Amino acid sequence: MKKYMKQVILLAIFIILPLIFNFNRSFMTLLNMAGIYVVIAIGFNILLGYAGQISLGHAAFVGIGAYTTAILSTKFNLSFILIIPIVMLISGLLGFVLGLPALRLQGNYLAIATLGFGVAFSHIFMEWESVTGGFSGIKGISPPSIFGYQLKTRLSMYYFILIFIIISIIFAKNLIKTKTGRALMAIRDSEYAAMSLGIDVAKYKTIAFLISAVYAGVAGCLYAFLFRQVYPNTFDVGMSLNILAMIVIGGIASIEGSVVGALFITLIPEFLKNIKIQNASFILTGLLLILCVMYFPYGLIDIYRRFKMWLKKKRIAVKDEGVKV
Amino acid sequence: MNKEALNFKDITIAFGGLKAIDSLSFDVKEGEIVGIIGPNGAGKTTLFNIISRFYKQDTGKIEVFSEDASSLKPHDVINKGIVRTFQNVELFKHMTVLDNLLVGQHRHLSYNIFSSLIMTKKVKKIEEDAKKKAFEILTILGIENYAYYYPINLPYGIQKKVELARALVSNPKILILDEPAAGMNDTETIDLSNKLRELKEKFKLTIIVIEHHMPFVMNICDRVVVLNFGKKIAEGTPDEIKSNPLVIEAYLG
Repeated sequence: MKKYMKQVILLAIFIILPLIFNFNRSFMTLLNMAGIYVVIAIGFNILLGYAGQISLGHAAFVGIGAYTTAILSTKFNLSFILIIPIVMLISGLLGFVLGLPALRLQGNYLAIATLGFGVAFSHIFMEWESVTGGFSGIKGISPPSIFGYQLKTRLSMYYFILIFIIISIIFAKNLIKTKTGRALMAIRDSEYAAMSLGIDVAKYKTIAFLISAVYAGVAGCLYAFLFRQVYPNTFDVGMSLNILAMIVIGGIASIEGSVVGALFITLIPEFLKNIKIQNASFILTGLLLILCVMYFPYGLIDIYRRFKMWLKKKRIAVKDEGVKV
Repeated sequence: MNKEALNFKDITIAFGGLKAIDSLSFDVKEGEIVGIIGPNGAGKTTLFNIISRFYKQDTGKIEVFSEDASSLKPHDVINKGIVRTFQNVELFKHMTVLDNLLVGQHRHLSYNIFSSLIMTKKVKKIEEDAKKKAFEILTILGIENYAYYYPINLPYGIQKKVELARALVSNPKILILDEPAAGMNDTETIDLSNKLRELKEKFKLTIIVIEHHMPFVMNICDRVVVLNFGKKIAEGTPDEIKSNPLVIEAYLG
């Protein structure tokens, strides 16, 4: 139990945070949005950070999750218990499909292909009016209900999303310390060595796309439940690039980094809103992106890691001096 | 007479107009240590890449324990008991030494992805056992203290040993070593050749080794195959090879 002390304390903080501060509705919306981005970022980091595969069309999966939820909820009146597995299935399937070109493409070319995928889907959301409602989107999604209690308030959605974040983190952590996660990292570091040790590179690359697509799909589902309406231009290339920025700034190949990055990028505009420079948050994000790539290639989480190492070294030094005296 | 472990029959591969390997035939018996030598560009590493199925030969056939292995996928080669090391050390550099050895056991870890997501007892048990086995091999090679290091932070000689450990941990029958002594000094090389003999007996291995360090080759190999411009120019015991005029010409002329 002592092993998980830090995690339990962190979780407790996140549980009581909105209760103590009694945030207003718009800030709660922002917090929920940040939570949804946390789920996306963790999944995206499995793909980019651990498997070393780029995707610039990840918003498409979020959109698929959101639209699937919207359609199943408004047209078929399904409850969230049924919607979530269907969303996972559909987004997973699409992830698999996007994974196929990844078997033949690498680096820049894969980036371009996935970008195309993202652009194509944002147009599909817009143009396929009979299904997606076109520009006006889909409204009237019913909120998830648990034992007859409808999660209508921002606070109840906050806890609903928190549960998904916890599951996302546990699954991702378990994945990376077992066979599948190691296979992904092996492929990232040396495809030839991975192959020679019996790792089916094609299979595991596809798995990486599939997993990250499922994470994004579920996040899209949460998005639809939060706002209870979906619009096509939410899930554009801008969102995909935002997801990428979260990981680069938060920390590549780090679950904690994904969380930090998602919270940082989503919440920073709120803290900068009093500054009278237009688009101050965009400017800061851009600057940070450059600084991170240049000085902290492992993201903000690396600053914390280095700090911990420094403390450790200092403690050892103090101990040594104690021995001398 | 021992069984044949590996059998090359008339292997040819060309890149553009250049025949990197030209109708090469030889075999390796079970329990033998066979050295492949030859000047730079003779086709030694190409041969290893054909065994690993990274390249496909244009003509010819490879048999592993008398079974045709010419149409295997690269990731299936290890299931025939063949595992290799690389000329320039292909370690997973963002993974610890221990994790590198766990990847080496990938094919033995028999649990599915869903049970690993929820970390069932079975998964935990298999992972524990795999770690134990990794430490056993690291201890045999005397590098157990480096288990939690990242390869980048290790000297080249240790990295080579880690790669050897990663190959051994996969329970191979045939070990393919591409210049295992590169970058080592003479004492380290002698240590390595003693170690390899010991490992061969302990794990009942068949070893094929490319090496430029002649004392190493002469010391360790039962048989030596000499390549030049993709062709086999000589084959025999180290003593026969030493006095073969064709070999001397290839190296000096």
